[in-house]
Amino acid sequence: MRRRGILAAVVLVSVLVAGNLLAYAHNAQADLSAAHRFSLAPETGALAKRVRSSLRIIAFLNVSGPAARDARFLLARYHELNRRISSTVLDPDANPGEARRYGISKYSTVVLTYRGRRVDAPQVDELDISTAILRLVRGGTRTVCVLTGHGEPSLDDDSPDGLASVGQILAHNAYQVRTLDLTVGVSPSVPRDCAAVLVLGARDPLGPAEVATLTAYARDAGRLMVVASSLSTADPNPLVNPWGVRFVGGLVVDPQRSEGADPGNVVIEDLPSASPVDDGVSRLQFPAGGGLLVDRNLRDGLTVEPLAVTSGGSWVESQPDKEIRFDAGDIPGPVVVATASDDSRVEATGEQRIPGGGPRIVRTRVFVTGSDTWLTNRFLDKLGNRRFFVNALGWLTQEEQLLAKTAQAQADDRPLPLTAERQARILVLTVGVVPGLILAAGVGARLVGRRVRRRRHP
Amino acid sequence: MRQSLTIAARDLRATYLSAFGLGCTAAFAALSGVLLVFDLRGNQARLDLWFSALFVALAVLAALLTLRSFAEEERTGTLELLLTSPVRLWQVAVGKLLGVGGVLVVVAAATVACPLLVAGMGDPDPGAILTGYVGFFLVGLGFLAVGLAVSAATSSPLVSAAGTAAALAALWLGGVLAGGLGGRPHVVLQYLSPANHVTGFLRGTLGVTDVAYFGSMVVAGLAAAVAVLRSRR
Amino acid sequence: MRRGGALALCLLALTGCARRSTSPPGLRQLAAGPPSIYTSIRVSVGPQSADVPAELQKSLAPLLITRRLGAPRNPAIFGLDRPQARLSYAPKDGPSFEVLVGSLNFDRHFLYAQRPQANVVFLVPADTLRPVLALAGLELPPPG
Repeated sequence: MRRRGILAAVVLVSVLVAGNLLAYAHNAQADLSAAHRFSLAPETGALAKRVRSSLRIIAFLNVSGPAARDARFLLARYHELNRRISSTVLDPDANPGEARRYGISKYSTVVLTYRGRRVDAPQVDELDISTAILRLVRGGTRTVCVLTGHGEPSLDDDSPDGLASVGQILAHNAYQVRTLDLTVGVSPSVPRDCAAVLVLGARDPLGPAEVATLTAYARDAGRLMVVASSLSTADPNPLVNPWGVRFVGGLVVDPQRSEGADPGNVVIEDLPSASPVDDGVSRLQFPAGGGLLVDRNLRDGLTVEPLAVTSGGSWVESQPDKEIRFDAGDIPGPVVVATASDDSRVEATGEQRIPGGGPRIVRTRVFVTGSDTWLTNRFLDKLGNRRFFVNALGWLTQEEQLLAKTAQAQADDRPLPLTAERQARILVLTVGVVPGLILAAGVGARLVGRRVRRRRHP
Repeated sequence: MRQSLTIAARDLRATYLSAFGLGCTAAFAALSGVLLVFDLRGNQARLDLWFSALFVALAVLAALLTLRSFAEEERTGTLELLLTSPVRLWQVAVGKLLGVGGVLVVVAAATVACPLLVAGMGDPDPGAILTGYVGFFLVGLGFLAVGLAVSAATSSPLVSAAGTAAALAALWLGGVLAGGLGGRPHVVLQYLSPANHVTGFLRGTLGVTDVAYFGSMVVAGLAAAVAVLRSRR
Repeated sequence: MRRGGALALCLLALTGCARRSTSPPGLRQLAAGPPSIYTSIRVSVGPQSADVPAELQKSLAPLLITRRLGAPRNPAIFGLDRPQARLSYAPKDGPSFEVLVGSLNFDRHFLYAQRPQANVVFLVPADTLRPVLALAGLELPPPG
């Protein structure tokens, strides 16, 4: 009897231990928090699916702190997305040999290895780890060239009118940024390793030689982003006309769809294209923008898509410094404010992938917007602007899933000032009323019970 | 199962027909209100600290509720009647757990005024409140099962309550001690501590590991209670 | 009723203790202090040794630890199989004891240290021991 009891206890403990081990190994989570704060972004999910063989993540952390617990939680989410992604949290103090082997010199370093390559992430954070995975899966970083020399806002500028947020997106998508100044040098050219050239808000006109260089680059399977502005003297037309787009300038106003009292702070709700640039974008905020005209029949092989269009009640105001009112000289809406041009053509020679050469397909992509303000730090996080920029970048460089999300907000801000009145209300209700009701209910039930018993047994 | 439900219903009725049950429920409701005021001092409409404090208070509640389950019955002489009746020991244990579990439901209902008040004044995360209450039940049932095992082992309600509190404190503190150890003992002690399985409930997530942990606590507590009762029969 | 009240108070006190004790333990000591309880404290690095002057003894007694790492499976990884230095404490009352000083940790902010035959390894701030080890000719590299 006793032996059976001991055996039953052993079996039970074994079952419980096995069950818990299994649960620990496959720790699935249901995230019911607001905005699923503790779940990974959809882009991370898509990125994780691109991992085709074993990817190992080692996070070097103090294992007795809460950071290690959070790290295990986050890394377990990656494993749920793709079983090929495995992770370990190692204490560099308790494992000095491993720390030395990986050359770790500070806590929170994350080492990722995949197919013989290694990338380090500076901290255990979804964005940093996903960026590292992107670099591993891609096989390295790619270079994006940003035109300078014409008063463009800087990617290091974190003032409201700067482009630091754009710089961060490029960094988090494992792009190396190279500034491109075509105003210096004898015969400057666009470097061959530029995955795309970004012309972001030039304030001064581009010289004829620069335009010629950039046009030649674009014609040779180049990828160009031209973010123009009516507020500058730089005329983007020489750059964009060959690709079926004409910048008409002026100021796009939409009294029916604008933010605040400024009709020039336009909210775009029509994104009619099936282009991947419009994917996941439902609204945009395009302040102080000029209009674009689209010529779809410029030549065969050239496709020009209007990506963002204002409402029927909008127009391009030709004299914005005077009264904002539709009159002669203004261009009636709907107005196109963003376009994507895709030009595919066959050239007789130039194919390098097969011996003997032969004809090659040349594909040019050009993304144009009539406003540059939407990209500034002040406006990039308005509505779908960030997503729109990331999509455009991905479309230009032919990358599938780039990371648009900012660092996941772990701090969940829900202000509730605890005034004296609120405090009193809480205490009266929870310490007075509710317990009072419970006790009263109990007393009442006893009295009723007593009365019933007296009636039964008088 | 019917016998278990009968035992549960009887215990639940007895608890709320006595001043003890009403007093415990009213006191816990009042405590939850006081804890809410302290935990809202961060000026945020968040209930994670409040739930965290309630989980600790559940240990006290479990010790108090389970002292009546077996120890008190033995002291008053009714346990022998129960154990000699044609009911299996596991049915008795499950019935006792369901009985105190019913009290837990009433106590939880008594605390609902707190999140409702916060929702009326601010914008708390409803998902985190839901998982907080799921955690409340899981943690509560786990602690109650431990309390039942201790209660079955003694005829003194005082020893039962103190023993339950000591057992739960030991489990909880094991996680703290683990910080000073390394290797496997560290991992095991950390895993065994309830403190390491409540974070998900507080932030709005439900994890398989945490549910498995508290489920195991319930099963282990019930099995221990049955084993102790069998040895005393 | 009275018994129940006393019981509830005891249990609440226990809960309070449990709650407080979930915060991390404070610093602990590898060697007790103050310096006045010792006749001498010496540092040895290989054949070289030196008495630790009074102004440096304050940082060695008590010798505070930053972290406790538990029992090592292989002391060699902490440089404790052949410690690079030894601190010898001679208390006025009681037997002398030693503290073994191993290698620097990964970021060179801490040193591994242990009492001989003890089953626990500790981390001691390198800044605390740097001037002491220099007395016996051991120059520690700066932190990473």
